[in-house]
Amino acid sequence: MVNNLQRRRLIGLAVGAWGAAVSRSATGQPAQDVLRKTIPSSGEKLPAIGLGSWITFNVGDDTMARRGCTEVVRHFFEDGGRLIDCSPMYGSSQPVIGEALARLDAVGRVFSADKVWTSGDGAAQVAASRAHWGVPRFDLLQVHNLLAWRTQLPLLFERKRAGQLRYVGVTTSDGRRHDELESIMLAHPLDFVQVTYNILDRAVEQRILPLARERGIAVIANRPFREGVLIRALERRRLPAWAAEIDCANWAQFLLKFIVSHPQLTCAIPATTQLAHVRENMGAARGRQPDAAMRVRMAALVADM
Amino acid sequence: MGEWRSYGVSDLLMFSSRTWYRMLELHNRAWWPLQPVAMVMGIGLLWAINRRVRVALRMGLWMLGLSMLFVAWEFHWKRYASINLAAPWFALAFAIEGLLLTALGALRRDLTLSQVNAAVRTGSVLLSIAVLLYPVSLLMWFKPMQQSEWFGLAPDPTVMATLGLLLCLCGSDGVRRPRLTWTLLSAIPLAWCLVTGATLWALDASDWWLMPSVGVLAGVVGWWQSGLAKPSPSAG
Repeated sequence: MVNNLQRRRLIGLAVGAWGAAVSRSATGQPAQDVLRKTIPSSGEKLPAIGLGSWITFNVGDDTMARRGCTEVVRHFFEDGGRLIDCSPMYGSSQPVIGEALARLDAVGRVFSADKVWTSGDGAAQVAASRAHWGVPRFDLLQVHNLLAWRTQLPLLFERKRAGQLRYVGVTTSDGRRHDELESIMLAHPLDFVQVTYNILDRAVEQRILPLARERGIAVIANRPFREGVLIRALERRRLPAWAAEIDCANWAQFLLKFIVSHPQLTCAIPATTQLAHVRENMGAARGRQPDAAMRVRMAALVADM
Repeated sequence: MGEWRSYGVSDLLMFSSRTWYRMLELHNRAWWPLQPVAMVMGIGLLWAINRRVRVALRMGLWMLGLSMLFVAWEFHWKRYASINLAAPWFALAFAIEGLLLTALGALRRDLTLSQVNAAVRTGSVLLSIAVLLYPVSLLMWFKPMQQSEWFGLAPDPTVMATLGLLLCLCGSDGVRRPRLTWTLLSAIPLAWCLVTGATLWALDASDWWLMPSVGVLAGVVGWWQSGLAKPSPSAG
């Protein structure tokens, strides 16, 4: 059984790698030219734009909406994306992702990032999550919002040692419990942390990001658009002409490039149900990226608005 | 404790407005043509209460009790639970309410409308809105009729009708402890008014205020009138 799974995994990986090599993005861009950032603990390169699933993929049993989510995942992969993020807290999002991966035969292409979110039996929850995704093992599991992390983190490290998991991490959101997050980053050999980071919510720049650099921890940025509020607010304004200097065609790319251009950020995970938005988001991982001076200019512009 | 205060209602919302209304649409499609049947039954209940038919209140308790059980199972448990982790708890609450209503209807054979007071008038208005107006209210907010909520099938109009019927109970004989009965039977519907109001507010729905307003109105009138009602010494 294990051999079968491993064989299927290897075949899937080979097919996925071939698919990625020959595929072109929905925008006609080669899928390989996306910005990739390094996971410090392994040296593995990961596309800087991932796909979140909070709210957007929680569509229940609605067949039509599930097909729409599958199309989002298809375009995400075709545009060079890999990391999909989910949690047992996200309702039906896990089975919706699993259905999309199965329909697209994309289990070998995805960088599966899920979470443990329970103060009870973490192993049982991970098994249920894995069954929903239909993956032989997760690439990354994180303790969601630090819930029962003293219990769940040893479980995840144990799985990593046993080869059942590649990376271990913890998450917070909206600036909560940063002191505790820091102490965990100092005391445990984490591969990833996930925090809220966007052009307005930048508290992690003070201590968390420098500590991540020091400890060799990859960083995932959640809520890049403040759940759409930032985009909706900015859409009423004209994109500045100088945004073309960093190859931004829209506000989504402006906001995402600000995030992923931070040297310590590994991946941003915008969520969407719109195919056009997938293309916009993935466009942020292409072309020129802002340097430090440009980042200051970008932040000042949005703060003034 | 401090961390919990940093969460808002929108942080707890797990699904989009589109998913919510699409779920109502699929629920309606699955149960058509039960909607007009439920409406006709509701109209029958309204007629019986206005005519002070002897069995009107018991008939209403059975009808609303079964409706609550139906909503608990078919809406909350089988449908809403797929997008909201709290929905199984809503199902439990609605099931308890359904059992309480049917039990009261079964046990109290002497429930009759003896007076038409402010509670009965308010209750009749709420029942009328729940049965007749709620399904078409979506047109006011420019939403398609396929997504409308019907008495007996969807939680909000069913809860509104339940509060209406409970207010009518304040004008009846046969209730030994009117205030206690009101409090016990209205707790779950009133709590739902808050839950649904918060949910719709987080979904940015223009009618989010409706059910909380109904809850406040029913809560005030029910508490006031159940205190004035004369306990029935013969009632068990």
